[in-house]
Amino acid sequence: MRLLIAEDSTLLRDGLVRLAESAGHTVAALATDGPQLHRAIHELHPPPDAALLDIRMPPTHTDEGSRHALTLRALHPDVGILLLSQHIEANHALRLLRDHPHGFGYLLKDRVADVDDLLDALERVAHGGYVVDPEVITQLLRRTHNRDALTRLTPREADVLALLAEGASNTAISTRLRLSGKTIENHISSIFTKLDLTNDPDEHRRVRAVLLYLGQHTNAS
Amino acid sequence: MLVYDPAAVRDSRLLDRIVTASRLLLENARLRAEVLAQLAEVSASRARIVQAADAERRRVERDLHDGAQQRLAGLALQLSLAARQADPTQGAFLNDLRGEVQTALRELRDLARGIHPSALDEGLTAALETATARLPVDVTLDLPPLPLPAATGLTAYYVASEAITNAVKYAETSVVRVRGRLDGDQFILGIIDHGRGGARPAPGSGLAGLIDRVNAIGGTLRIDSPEGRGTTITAELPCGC
Repeated sequence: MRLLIAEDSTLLRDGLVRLAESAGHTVAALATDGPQLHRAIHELHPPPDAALLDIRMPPTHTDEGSRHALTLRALHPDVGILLLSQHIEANHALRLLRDHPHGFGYLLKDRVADVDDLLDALERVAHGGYVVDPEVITQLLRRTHNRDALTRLTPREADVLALLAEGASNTAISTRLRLSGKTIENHISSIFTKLDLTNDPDEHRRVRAVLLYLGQHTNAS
Repeated sequence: MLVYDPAAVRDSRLLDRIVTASRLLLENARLRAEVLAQLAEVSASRARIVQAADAERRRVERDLHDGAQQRLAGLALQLSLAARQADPTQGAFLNDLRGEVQTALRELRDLARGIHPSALDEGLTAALETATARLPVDVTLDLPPLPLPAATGLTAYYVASEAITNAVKYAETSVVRVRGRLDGDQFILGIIDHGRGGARPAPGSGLAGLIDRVNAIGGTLRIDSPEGRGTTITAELPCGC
């Protein structure tokens, strides 16, 4: 895959480049701040397959990565976008999710050292899937409204829901929980019925439905 | 008040006593006005000190975030990559090192949050969610979704965090409720548990520190903690909302 990487910390940026190249990907463009990212987005031809972006970069160290991700999305709708955040900002992640109907991921920087997970995440967003850091899901699941809703699910179904919310495919869930694909499918049907959600045959849209469901009672303005 | 009695003026000794009393009254009034002005200045300067300290802490947290935390995240990644390219023994060793770095990163993150909760930018609920994510108690948060002014939000955060931490340490309870609402120009925050009770703000304790901090911004803190009957901590914080 051809990648666009934006990260201001030298050590981390160098590690991400080595990680990408060790997996056989090409780093088509590298940015260390907002303006460089802006230029890369507009000048990179052909567009990359996926972009790995730090959310906070110079000059303002607030949301350069997220803002430029939207520009990238507008210019090239099929590019997978994986955002890296220093902190769990669940509501921020949910707002970003609403802006990205597919091919989007939000991971904590803590996660970058899990090389296989990071490479897998890049792959998934490049192919239109979602990836949400498990810590964010844990926090969402603890919210009062969601806790009440989850009492309707069996423990197994709750496990499936958590993995689904992280963006795992049916195959991945079945491997993780050591259950057959058919069993997973049945659990998912049951979950969707109990939570009053429409079960979409498209796996990506299902993940999005679950995430939007979990985020609907956000307490932030 | 001075009442002018024409008869008194004719008696010169009485007049002397009246003049002395008048002087004392005036002096008294002047002193009282001075003391009130000084109290107002002390209050204002206390609030300024707290604000300056908070601004400094914010700066420290930002430096930690931009500096040490980034470096450690990068280091963990580099160790992972090196481990993958090493032989099994070396690789295992490098992965152990990576684990240590990740632990340091988590500890640093917790420390930074204690210095200043950057999640507060996302709202009080978000900040408290993050702070209580790993605690062994169930914390329910019932707070209005409105943004609070910086000093109010920060104080509310510290009050709630300290109260919850105390509940975890001493209350012997599995549930803590946090409720907040706006009442006129005040933000009323309550932290309730049905545990052991008996909480007292001992000198130098976290609770005593909270009282100081709340008072410094012009608010009040009440602790209701009858022995054996749970604890309710109520803070009334001025909120220009």
